[in-house]
Amino acid sequence: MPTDQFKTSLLSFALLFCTLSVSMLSFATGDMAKFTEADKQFLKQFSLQSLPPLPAAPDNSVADNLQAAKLGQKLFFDPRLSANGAIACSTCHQPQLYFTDGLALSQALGTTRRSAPSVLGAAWSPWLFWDGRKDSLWSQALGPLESSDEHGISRVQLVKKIALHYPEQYQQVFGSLPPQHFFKNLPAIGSPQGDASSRANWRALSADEREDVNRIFSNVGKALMAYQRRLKLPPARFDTFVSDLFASGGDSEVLNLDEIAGMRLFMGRANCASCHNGPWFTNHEFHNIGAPERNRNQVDLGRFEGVATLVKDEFTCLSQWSDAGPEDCAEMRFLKRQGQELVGAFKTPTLRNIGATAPYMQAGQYANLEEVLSHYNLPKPPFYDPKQHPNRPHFDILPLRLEQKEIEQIIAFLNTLTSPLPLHDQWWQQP
Amino acid sequence: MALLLALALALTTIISPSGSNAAARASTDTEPAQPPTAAAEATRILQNATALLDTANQTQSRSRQSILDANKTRRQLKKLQAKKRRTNDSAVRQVLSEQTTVLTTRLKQEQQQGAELRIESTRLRQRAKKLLEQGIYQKWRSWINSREPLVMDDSRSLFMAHNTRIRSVHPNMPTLEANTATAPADGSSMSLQIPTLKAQNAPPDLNIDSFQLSREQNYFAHIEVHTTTSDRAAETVPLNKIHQWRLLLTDMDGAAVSGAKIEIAGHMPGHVHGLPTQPVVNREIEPGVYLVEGVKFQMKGWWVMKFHITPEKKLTAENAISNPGSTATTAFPYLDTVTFNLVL
Repeated sequence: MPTDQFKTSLLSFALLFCTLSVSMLSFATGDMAKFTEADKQFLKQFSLQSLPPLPAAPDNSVADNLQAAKLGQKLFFDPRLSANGAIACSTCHQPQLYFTDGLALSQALGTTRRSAPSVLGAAWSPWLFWDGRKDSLWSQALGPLESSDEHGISRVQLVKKIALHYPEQYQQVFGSLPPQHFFKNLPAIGSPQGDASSRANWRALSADEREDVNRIFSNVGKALMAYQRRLKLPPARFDTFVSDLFASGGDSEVLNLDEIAGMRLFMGRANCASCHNGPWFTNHEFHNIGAPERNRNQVDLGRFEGVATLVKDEFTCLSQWSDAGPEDCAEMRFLKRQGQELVGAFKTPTLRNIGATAPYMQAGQYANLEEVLSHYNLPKPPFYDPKQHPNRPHFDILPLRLEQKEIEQIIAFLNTLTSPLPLHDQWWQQP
Repeated sequence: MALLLALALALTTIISPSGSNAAARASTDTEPAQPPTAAAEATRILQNATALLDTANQTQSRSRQSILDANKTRRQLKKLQAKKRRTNDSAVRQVLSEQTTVLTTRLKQEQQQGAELRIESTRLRQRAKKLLEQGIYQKWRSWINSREPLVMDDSRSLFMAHNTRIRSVHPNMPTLEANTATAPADGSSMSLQIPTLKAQNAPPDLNIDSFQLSREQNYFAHIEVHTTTSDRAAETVPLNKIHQWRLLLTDMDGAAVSGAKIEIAGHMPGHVHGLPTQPVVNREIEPGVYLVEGVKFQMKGWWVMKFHITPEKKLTAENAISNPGSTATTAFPYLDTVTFNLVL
């Protein structure tokens, strides 16, 4: 008479056998589209319906203020906030392209070093930019404004424009602006960043003047952040598929068999979900996948540079411009500053709308998803130059060795992550 | 022999904590036997533990000596064999052969003795560690909520490892398939095949206790998740969230080690990466109980956490003066490291 223990081992053997047979035999057409309760729970973690609420933003007291968001929206689309009057945030973050620009390297006043990432989902990330050199969305927004290749406008110019074009909206959210003569007395340009004359002008200002300028400047970032926190994505076909799995009891025709096969590979053998996970399909971490260097004479050190810039940044959560106390800045306080894995590592991008946001990688090295998948299928290790790299770059991926058909299936799945453009959503429109 | 006897004695006292000694004392005392106070009990356990640890260390050095002897014998043996090959004189060969047989037997004995002693010393050390844990628990009960290994909050499914120990793509490197066990993540009826890189799993006999002895045996330490609530569920390690730990640090007598400078390094042995944050120890909640801030794990799996400890010299000197009875090893501790293995 079999004991309970024996029964258990018999059962587990049977289970093991099932597992083995599943992995050894390819799916019969019917099984491919069948999902168990455990599968559904697993897939649900990737669905927009599992999206957690926006993370608290103690460093920005107006992060969820509607008036601030409305001001931020105006600023986001306003080309007057640039040196030539033609560049707005929306120049490189275009709503109809899911807030990207479709270019390898972005074109504004000059050409940027990296590709403009989408701002969708940025509010959930602890680090901003490809190298994470900013720790909040409000601080991030300040970078492109002063960058000579982007808006090219110094903070002194910017605050004058705010006083000129947005005095009421600004004061409604942030309280009173300094009197008119304060702005009249400011030099034409001035910033601790920028060229020699801009820096000299900045040094010539009194400490109080610098503080007033920096306050308005950082508030501009906070309004832009409040706006970007309003951007929502409607469900993509993948999300509808997951909901349908729950509604229908385990199978759904929202995705076709190739897309489902691609999804199984994505979650399984192709290993994509190890970093591209959660509702935004990213772990918000930094990895080196060995994408080719755009310029081998000036390698991109990625997170290694990002950390070095971040610790010197004037506008972090720990700075005087943050509304948070130091105890609310855990990510900054316990920032990892060293580690060979930082070299050449870039933030895992979201895969939401990936099919509609080519080209790919931090500098648009790959024009289409076929090129991306062919890199993952048989990657070359990262370029290493001992003269430029502090250590041999870490390498985070293994060759997938997938068949051409399987690659096509993964791409088919990736295309199910594209949401319909919510062009009627007020936040997706130019105000 | 004397060693084994001592060992047997030590074990007897361990097995019967209120055993023969107490009974003997009770029978001679005129007053009825009093149950030992918790503190006295802890002290007694810790004394046993340190004695056992000493025995373990001695056994280990004997093991080391045996292995060194074996190495020496092996060199002699090699020389003999070389000599044997060179000579054509059969009489000399005969003598050399006999010597070789003797040496071979000796080599085997020495190797076996070395191995046996090593196993024995490991067993003794583990036993001593368990006793230390017991003693420290008696002494520090108010700060020890859990004696179990740290576990991760399992409300989310496992996302597998994102990278590997291999640093370059080489034609003969293992393929993902070969290195991948595709299994249901939760052992249930999942048809999705979620990869787990087998080679990155912790060895089955890994010691994942939350109590550990420092490398140089100056300190005994315990870690647990620090919560301000009384919610036991909150004492698991969260995934991808900055949280706090408590590090309890004592000397071998169970006394608080206060004012130490503690640096933390962590990594995943299966991957070539460290922690996503830099945890720090900035303050003590009370002497010997350190608050570890900024701990975060971005994935499940095998993690190693090392605490590098530099005692505050001044305090150490004072301790030595006020505690003249403390043993030589704990009077002047120096830079030392406590390592914890975690399988989250």
